[in-house]
Amino acid sequence: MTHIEVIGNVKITNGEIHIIGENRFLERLIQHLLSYLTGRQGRSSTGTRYTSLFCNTLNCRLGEDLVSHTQRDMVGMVTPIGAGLGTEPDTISGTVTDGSGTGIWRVKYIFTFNAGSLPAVTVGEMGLYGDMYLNNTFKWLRSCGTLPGCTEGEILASRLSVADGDFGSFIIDDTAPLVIEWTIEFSFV
Amino acid sequence: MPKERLKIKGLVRITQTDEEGNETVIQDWTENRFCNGMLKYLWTLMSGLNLNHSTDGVYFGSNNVQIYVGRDTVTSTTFDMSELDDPIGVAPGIAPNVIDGVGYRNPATNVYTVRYLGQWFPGTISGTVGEIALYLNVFNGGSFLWQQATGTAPHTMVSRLSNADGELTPFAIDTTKTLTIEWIIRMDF
Repeated sequence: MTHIEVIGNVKITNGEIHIIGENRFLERLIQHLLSYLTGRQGRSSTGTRYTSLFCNTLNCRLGEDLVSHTQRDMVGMVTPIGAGLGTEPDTISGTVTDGSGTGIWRVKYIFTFNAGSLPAVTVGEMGLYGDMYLNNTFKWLRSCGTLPGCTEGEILASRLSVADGDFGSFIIDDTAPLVIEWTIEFSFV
Repeated sequence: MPKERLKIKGLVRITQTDEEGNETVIQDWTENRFCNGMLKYLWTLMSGLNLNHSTDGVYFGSNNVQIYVGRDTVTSTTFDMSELDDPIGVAPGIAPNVIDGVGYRNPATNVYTVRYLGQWFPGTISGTVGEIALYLNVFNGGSFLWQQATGTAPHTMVSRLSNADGELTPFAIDTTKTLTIEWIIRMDF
């Protein structure tokens, strides 16, 4: 129990395609976790507002890049599939595993792209995005007066890539749903 | 490129200092043992939607960060512990006169830390110390997309250093000197 380990496991299902891999975390996720070990309070200057947590902008994007290794300061897919950051999943859901009795705590994000939502192109990278606050000042206070609340937007937290050998490239079967289950696990070492 | 996993560890240092500033190292940097509270806190950050607050605010982990000391020398740390076994003073213990901290990040050296410091002035605490603990406010969130309204999360032990685990040599507090405990939480790729 002297250490805590954080692992990101990814399972991809698309028709006959079944792939599993382990993600690579980026620096901003460390900053996010650290910021809530230094932070004091979220509050509003007037009325009821919110301070976002990771799932406020939870998302998953895919890309076609096959050669670019993951860098700690990456902000998005190198070659997104779709416009902008990339095509969003049609549905996003999740489950959690309470580790009170086992010491293993998991949150599983489930991203589903319906059949035909993505083109039949080669997938070489995928990214997990969320809302992350990056202030490491001791007892920082987030005062929010903006309706409906404060968000930092979508920030890339981890990436899985063919270039790093995290998974093998595949061509999307656009006749079947593409489901990505992304599990973040906290456990003792 | 980033490694796949994040590692989190905690390091503790104990000193006593006389009024002339002469420092005696009681225990040099030693690794702590984490408890469920720390895992739950990090887990809730990744499963939550937002903190939905008013002008009264929602308090984060470090709002009431505390370090407490206890007498126990025989009870080993278990992952589901949430408080010291035998605190000095009324439970959860005698709070330091000074509690401070600093967040630090240096991507070039791959160091991401928060360093907490607790200080008891001469004569404010006495006894023989066999266990010490770090306490944070740990969110109650227990579901996917949990939200929390205004208020303070439970104050919980998140890590411990103890003689029973063989990591702390019991010592009698010199009540003529200042007692200082530094506690570093460090995250690495």
